[in-house]
Amino acid sequence: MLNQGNDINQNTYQLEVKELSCQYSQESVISDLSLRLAKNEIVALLGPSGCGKTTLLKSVAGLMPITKGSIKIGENLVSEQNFTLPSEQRKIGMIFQDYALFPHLSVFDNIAFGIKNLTKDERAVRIEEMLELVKLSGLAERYPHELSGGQQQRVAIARALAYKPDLLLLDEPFSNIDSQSRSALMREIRTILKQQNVTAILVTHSKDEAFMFADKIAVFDQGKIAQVGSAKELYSRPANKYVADFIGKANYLTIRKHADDGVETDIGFISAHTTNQVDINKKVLMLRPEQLVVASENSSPLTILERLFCGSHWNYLIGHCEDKQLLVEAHTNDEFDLGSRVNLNVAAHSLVAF
Amino acid sequence: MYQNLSRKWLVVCWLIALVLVSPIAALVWQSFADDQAIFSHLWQTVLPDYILNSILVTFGVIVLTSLIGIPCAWIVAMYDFPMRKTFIWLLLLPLAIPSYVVAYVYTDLLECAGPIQSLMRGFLGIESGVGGCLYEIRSIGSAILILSLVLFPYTYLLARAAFMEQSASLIKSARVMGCNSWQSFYRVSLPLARPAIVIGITLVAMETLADFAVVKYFAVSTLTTAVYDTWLGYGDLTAAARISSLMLVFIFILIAIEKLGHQKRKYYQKSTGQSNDARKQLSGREALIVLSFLILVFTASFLFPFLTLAKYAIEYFEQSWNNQFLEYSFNSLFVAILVSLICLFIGLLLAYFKRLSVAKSSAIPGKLSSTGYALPGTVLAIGVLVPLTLLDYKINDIFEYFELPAPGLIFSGSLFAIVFAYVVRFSAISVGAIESSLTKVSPSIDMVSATMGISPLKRMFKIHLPLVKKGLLAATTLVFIESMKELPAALLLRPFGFETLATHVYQFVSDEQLELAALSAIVIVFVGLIPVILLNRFLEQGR
Repeated sequence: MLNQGNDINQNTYQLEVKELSCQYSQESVISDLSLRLAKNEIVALLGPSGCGKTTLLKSVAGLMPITKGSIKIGENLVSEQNFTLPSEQRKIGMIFQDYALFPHLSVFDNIAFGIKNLTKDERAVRIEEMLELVKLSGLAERYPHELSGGQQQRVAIARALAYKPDLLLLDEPFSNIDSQSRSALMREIRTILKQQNVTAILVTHSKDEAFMFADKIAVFDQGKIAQVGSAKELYSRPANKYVADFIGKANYLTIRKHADDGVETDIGFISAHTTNQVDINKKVLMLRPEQLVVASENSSPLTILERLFCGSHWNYLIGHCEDKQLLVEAHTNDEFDLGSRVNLNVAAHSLVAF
Repeated sequence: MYQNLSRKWLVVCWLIALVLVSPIAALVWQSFADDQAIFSHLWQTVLPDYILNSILVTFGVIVLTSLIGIPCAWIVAMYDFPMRKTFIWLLLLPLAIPSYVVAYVYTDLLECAGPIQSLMRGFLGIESGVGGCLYEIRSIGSAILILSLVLFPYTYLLARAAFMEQSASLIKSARVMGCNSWQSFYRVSLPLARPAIVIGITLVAMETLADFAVVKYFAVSTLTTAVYDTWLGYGDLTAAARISSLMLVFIFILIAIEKLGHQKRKYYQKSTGQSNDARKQLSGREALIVLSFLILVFTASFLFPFLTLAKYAIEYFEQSWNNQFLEYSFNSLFVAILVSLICLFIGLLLAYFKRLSVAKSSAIPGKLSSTGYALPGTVLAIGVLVPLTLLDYKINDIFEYFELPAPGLIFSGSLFAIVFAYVVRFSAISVGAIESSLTKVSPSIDMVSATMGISPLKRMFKIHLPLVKKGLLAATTLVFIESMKELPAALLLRPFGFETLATHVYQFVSDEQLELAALSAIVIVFVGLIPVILLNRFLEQGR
């Protein structure tokens, strides 16, 4: 991923997972997976449930043994075959979907739990700092059940950051937060993490969360990483169909003929941005719905089959080649009636084909 | 969760589990030993009848408890009427009263010379004396009636929980689709509650099968009385073990049914509890009918026996309040406290072991150690006697070999036997309760404290114990009370001259002199009320 050549010194990685394999009772959950996190980087592990992302998180946390490979946090080797450094010696913080606050302790005592090594005064100062950071000053004496979900998750963040871990692991932390306040909380916590220079891994199945929260996204597919990159890279240049579909909506057009400056498809010739870099062996062209531009054309074989007004845009389902369909996202002003004949144009761009 | 557990812990847990399961293993093993042809004699003569009696009583109690328990549950779960909240817990109280006390009280009332039959004879103009008996109290019917009065709360409790947990929207949608109140009960609520009711019924069946005192009192010979008589009458351990093993077969069938019920229940009861507004307000007349029914059930099952007992206790207080009473109370207390502490320790160890260890096999010690709970007291007693007498004989042999004076029956003939039997029987309660309160603590709590640098032992004291202390308290209290009440095992295992409150009361019940032991009986009832109140409060909180 990030490692392009040897120009980056290995020591700058905060987390280095090498050729990792994990098993749950004989069943392989992760196989031969590698991942690196630079200092202060936030990476999202994105994938459907059961793809191994939580397993990776647990093995990084030392909550699960690994069968092959190695895990390094900073410069310390923490896991390899037949060796698992106990969680309590790894200096990591962990945030859970159910917040995992100690229900019998007040907010103050929850945060104090991980910083028993500090003196009493230092502790009080640190806790006050943390509460201010997560905007919960004045709630120190409350108990977890007296707080809203969002507030509880802030306490969990404060508790984890209080002992300044080398790495913060977040396991679906926003799933239990109601959708109205979720994005605000996400933005806020991201700001906090950036401000505190925290290196973090977020596990999520929601692409929106990954887009909003992470610097980089690792898309998981059945125990392997399908692709790593920024949200923009993954969206515009997905490595395969799986990533393309997981990250956004996609249309696929059969490539009839490759040319130097583009490809011939079912809906006509589509030009490449500069020179056509599409490999001659690739069979289908991927187009995002907003890359197709609709225009009225009475003699066209293409018809509008369905339409849906979405506020910021129109969604059209356009039929072509008898039974094939294309999803198009058009500007609000571009209104077409059901059944109308239309033409589709695609601006020249750097083509993506599989 | 993943944790490196020391081997020591593993060995200790498995050892405890094996010791606790040893009585059952011993029973089965002893069944194959040679006997004095007593078993085959019994088999050819009376045993088939005993089996039939056991089945008849069990079946009768199942039917009668369902007829009492399910309507009660339906009424309090679905309707609003005056004193509803009070009746919710009043209907649990019969659990606290020893069944043989109820049997005694009703015998006084219903026997040939009792007030009811005399009154009836007066009406019908029948002469008293020979042939004038309208109903023979010492019969299977009486045993069924009395056991049902005491055991129906199990069915009531489980059915009530099931009805209350059913989502109100289910019933509403049944109504919208055209079901009337009865149809929605019959077609939706009852099938949904069925797994829970099945669990209740199997509990009732197990308690009935295990009952010794009531059937003995009514002179109904069943498998439990057969075990008792074979051991005390013939002194034949093998025959007793064989009859016990026969009972085990029935018990295992019931357990299998219960497990099935639990499995189904998971799917049937998913939704959250219903809101108050869903309960139908009863009109004055309807409320009156419902209330009379509930009052009748409560009076018959608890109030009347309890008041009778209280009357005896007051009238005979002078004779009852003596050194013997104090001694027996102390005996009961001592055994109960000892047993509950041991069970607490075992429960903590096994439950925590299961939580910390990642291996699937780590749940086995807890499961093994819980098998004793299903054993009827008489069967358990025989199961305990087998390994302990063997141990005693071996010890005496060794002493003899070194020409030392024989120490006697240091295990089977001492308090050790009773305490061991109780621990075998009741550790299931503490293991179960502690395990279930631990499962309520999210695993992420363990993980988060692990990442925060807390060692497993420290975690147990600072996080888990504070979080499950209510569960611990409840478990220990329950074990304590069960130990105070347990009768048949104590009857068979107590050292010579050792009496507990329960054996004391039972002795006087069988001597037709309950009046003199009423004080002890009242103590047992009051002690028994504690878990009922706890249980009810727990259920109230759960909603």
